[in-house]
This record gives sequence, C-alpha cells and structure tokens, in this order.
Amino acid sequence: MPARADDHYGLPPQGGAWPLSLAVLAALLALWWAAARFGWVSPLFLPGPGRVWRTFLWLCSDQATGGGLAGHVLASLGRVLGAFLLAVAIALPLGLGMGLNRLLRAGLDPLLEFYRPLPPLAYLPLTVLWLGIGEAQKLLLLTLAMAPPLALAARAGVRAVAVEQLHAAYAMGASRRQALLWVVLPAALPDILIGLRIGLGFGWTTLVAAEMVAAERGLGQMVLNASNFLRTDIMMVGILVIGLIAMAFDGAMRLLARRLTPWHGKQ
Amino acid sequence: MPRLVVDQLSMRYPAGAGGVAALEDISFTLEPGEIRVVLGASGCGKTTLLNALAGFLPPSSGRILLDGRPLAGPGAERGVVLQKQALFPWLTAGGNVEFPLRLRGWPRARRRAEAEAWLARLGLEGCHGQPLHQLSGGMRQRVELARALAADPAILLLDEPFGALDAFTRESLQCLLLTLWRDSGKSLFFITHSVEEAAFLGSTVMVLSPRPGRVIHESALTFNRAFLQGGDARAVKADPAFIAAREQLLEAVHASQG
Ligand SMILES: Nc1ncnc2c1ncn2[C@@H]1O[C@H](COP(=O)(O)OP(=O)(O)OP(=O)(O)O)[C@@H](O)[C@H]1O
Ligand SMILES: [Mg+2]
Repeated sequence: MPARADDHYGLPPQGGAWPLSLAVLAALLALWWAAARFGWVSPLFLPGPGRVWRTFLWLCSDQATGGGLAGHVLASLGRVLGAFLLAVAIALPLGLGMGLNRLLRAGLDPLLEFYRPLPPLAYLPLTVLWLGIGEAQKLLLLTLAMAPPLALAARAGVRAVAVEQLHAAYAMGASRRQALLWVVLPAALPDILIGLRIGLGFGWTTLVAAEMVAAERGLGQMVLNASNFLRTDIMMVGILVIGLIAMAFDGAMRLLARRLTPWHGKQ
Repeated sequence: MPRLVVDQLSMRYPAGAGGVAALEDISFTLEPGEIRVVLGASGCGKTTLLNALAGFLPPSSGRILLDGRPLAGPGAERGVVLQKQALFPWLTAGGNVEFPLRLRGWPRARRRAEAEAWLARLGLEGCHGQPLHQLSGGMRQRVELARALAADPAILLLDEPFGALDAFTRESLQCLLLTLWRDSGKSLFFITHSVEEAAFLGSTVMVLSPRPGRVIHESALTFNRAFLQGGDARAVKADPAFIAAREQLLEAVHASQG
C-alpha cells in the first residue's frame, strides 16, 4: 500500500479502504445467498437473505402480531436510553467526585472494584425478585450495568489534566471553581465521551440478554420467542436489527466525540 | 508594585533516599520593575525556583515574602509562562488568550478585541480562530506569552519562553518584551539558557551552580535600558561593552560547572 498524505511516518496507517470492506460484505452476502439457494444448509437453520428480507417487511407491516418490529424496537430503545440518562445523571457526578476527592475515592473504590467486573446477568435474578419483570426492573438493571464504565471514565478523565495547565490557570487568577469548570472538565471530556460510548454499548448488550430472560416486549424477547416457534427468519431479523442499532449507537457517539472534542488525539 | 523577597530558600524533592536537594540557600529580592534573569546548567533547579516563586511548591526551608507576607499559593499578581507547554487544546489560539479575561468576567467583544491585539503584537495576527494543533511550536510559545501578558500580572515569571524560536523571531520578541516592560513597569523573572539573551534582557543576571543550585554570581547590567534609549538591538549586542559582559557571564557559567 502506498503511503497516504494523512499517514504519519512510522505510525501504523490510519483509516481503511472502503472498497475492500464493501467487497468482503458483498462476498459474505453472496455466500449466504448461495448456501440457501443451493440447499447447503437447511432453511430451518439458515433462511436465505430473500426470506429474511420478506420477513422483515412483514414484521414492519401492521399484520404482524404483537405490535410488530417497531413495537419491540421502541420498547428496547426506550429502556436503554432511559437507563442511560439515569446512569449518566448518577455515575458521572460520582466519577468526577472520585477523581477530585480523596475521601470519596477511598469510600467508593472497593464497591466499584467489586461490582464493575461483575456480569450484570449475575444480579439480574435479584432485580427480578425485587421489582418483578416490569420496566422498573429493566431500568435498575441497566442503570447498574452502565454506571461503572461511566464512573470510571469520569474518574480517569479528571486525571487527564496536566498539572501545568492547572498551574497556569491559577496563576491567571482562577478560583477553584473556575479551574474545575474551565480546565479540569474540558480536559476530562474526551475520556468521559469514551466512557459514554462504552457504557451505552454495554447497556445494549445487557438489555438484550435481560429481555430474553424476563420481558414481554423488546428485541431480545422477539428473538427468544421466535426460537420457541422455530421462526429462524424472525430470529435473523432480530439479530440484524440488534446489531445495526448497536452500530448506530457507536457511530453516533463517535460523531458526538468528534464534534465536541476535535482536539483529541491531535497533540 | 509588589516586591518579592526570597530569604534563605532551600528546596528538596522527597524522591529517593533522603530526597533530592534541588536548591540551597537562595536569597535575593525581585525589585519592582526589575528584570532578573537566571542562568544555569540544565537540572540546576531553575524551574524549581520558578515554581516556588509562583506558589506551586512550598519552600522546604526559608521564606518567600510578597510585600512582606509569606506566599499563600499562586495568585493573579504573579503570572507564569511555563517551560512545559500549558495551553488549553480545547480552546483556539484566541480562546487561550481570552482565558484570563474570561476569568475576570470581561464581556465577549472586549475580550476578543484585547486578545486580537495581543496576538497581533506577538506576530500572530489572524490566528485568533486557529486550533492549537495547527500552529507550530514557536507560534504556540507566542500564544502562551500572549496569554500571560493579557492576564496583566505585576510580576511575570518566564521559564525559557523563547526556547523554540528562531534567532530572528527571538530577537524581535526580546525587543518587544523590553518595550512592554518599560511601558508597564512589570517585574520579570526570566529563565534562559542563552547567555546573550541574559546579558541583553537582565537588569540583574543571577547564575546558579549545578544541583543543588546556589547563587554563585550576580551582575547588574543596563543593556536593556541602552536598547530602550537607542532602539537598535544589533547595535547594543555588537557593542564591545556588551560583548565583554556576555563573556564574563559565560565565564561564570563555565566556572560554575567546576
Ligand atoms: N518532581 C521531582 N522529583 C524529584 N526530583 C526532581 C523533581 N523535579 C525536578 N527534580 C530534580 O531537581 C533538579 C532541578 O530540576 P529543575 O526542573 O528545577 O531544573 P532546571 O534548572 O529547570 O533544568 P532545565 O534547564 O533542564 O529546565 C533536577 O536535578 C531534577 O532531577
Ligand atoms: Mg527547567
């Protein structure tokens, strides 16, 4: 590959080559199509792309039972976004506090260290026991799942500020409050945005699993329910939609980060 | 105008067994309206001294008095230009220069006009909206100087502020700094590696020994005044008296290395 203008000598090359990416995607699609068309795999296990597409259209129409795809998507999105806002409101201030305050850090660290690596599915039954399988339980579970990455990111972000930057601010007459708002927080923003992206992705993963265990609606429930009726086509639609939404979340958060922290990684 | 008195100051870092002695028994006064230049080998404690004067590091022993009172941390009357770059990358070049004015609650339009004037004075006209990562090292250094000057402190502490500049820009900024000094009556504490710069700028030049730094030489010079009267830096620097003073400083630095 020839070096490109935006490459830095010696650094691994940036970006990709989208024609290649497209070609790989097209090849996979063709393989899938061929597997179904020539009967390499039974349609019970792997329906072809055409079949999945028609099921998708059917699920989008009103004839589908149970409110159709839109109902499931809205249920899942509502849960994850609601819990995301709640987690941000709780975990970001706590994480910032941990970064700034020795006592808060000492107090919360053991808790966070224990429960951050804990898979949310481990305490899922407990939340069901407490709150049943309604929306409150989803909200609690997801908030608990998303809070640690957010808190840790905010905590790490506070450390990102260079001591020279703070010194310069104080020597210009900044108060503690001004230094916090105008130096520490902007310096922490890139880390915080990375935390938001990771938190949202993790929340989505957890949600789909939680909906399979206990829910009446939602994409996870749709996939699980379809498997009970051997509707592999519906399962495939569900999987594709879940993946596409996850990608959309990630892309949106990346875009937001590029908008809000254009300086990040350009030192 | 405030007076900064350093009285038997020693600084040590806790690192290692028994700590690292960085400065030992330093005494001097930064008189109002003086330019005190510090020369010394790398690692002799110049930056440590600046950090102590700014109030970022407490004295290990001895005292630093500002108008008779011990320092209680940093303050807006003591501005800094630090050796390590300390600009805010989330702000544009102009946003950085406006920062101290924003701290004081200046209205936006006035802030912007002031920042643009400072940038222009430092040869950065039109850079107000530029993101920092698009500026060269020397341009960023000038943005830092512009920011410190916009904050308008009575005492300015500068740590090798012209280190990344070419000889021509460096000289023009030396001249600018002297003009600003005359017009504002600020006191400057100026760290440099360049003996010529020291002789040109200093009202007093102080040479430190290698670590632990002590004051081993002090000269009072008037070439800054000579420049401000004559207006020709090249003429001042070519003057035999200047060359003699420069060589004497160089000798003191060499002698300090033992
Ligand atoms: N945080 C620290 N902990 C331990 N030792 C330190 C620390 N900072 C500086 N020192 C030591 O103190 C001495 C003085 O450092 P300082 O940065 O003041 O030197 P300097 O004169 O500014 O050097 P230069 O001209 O290279 O900038 C050095 O020998 C260094 O090893
Ligand atoms: Mg230094």
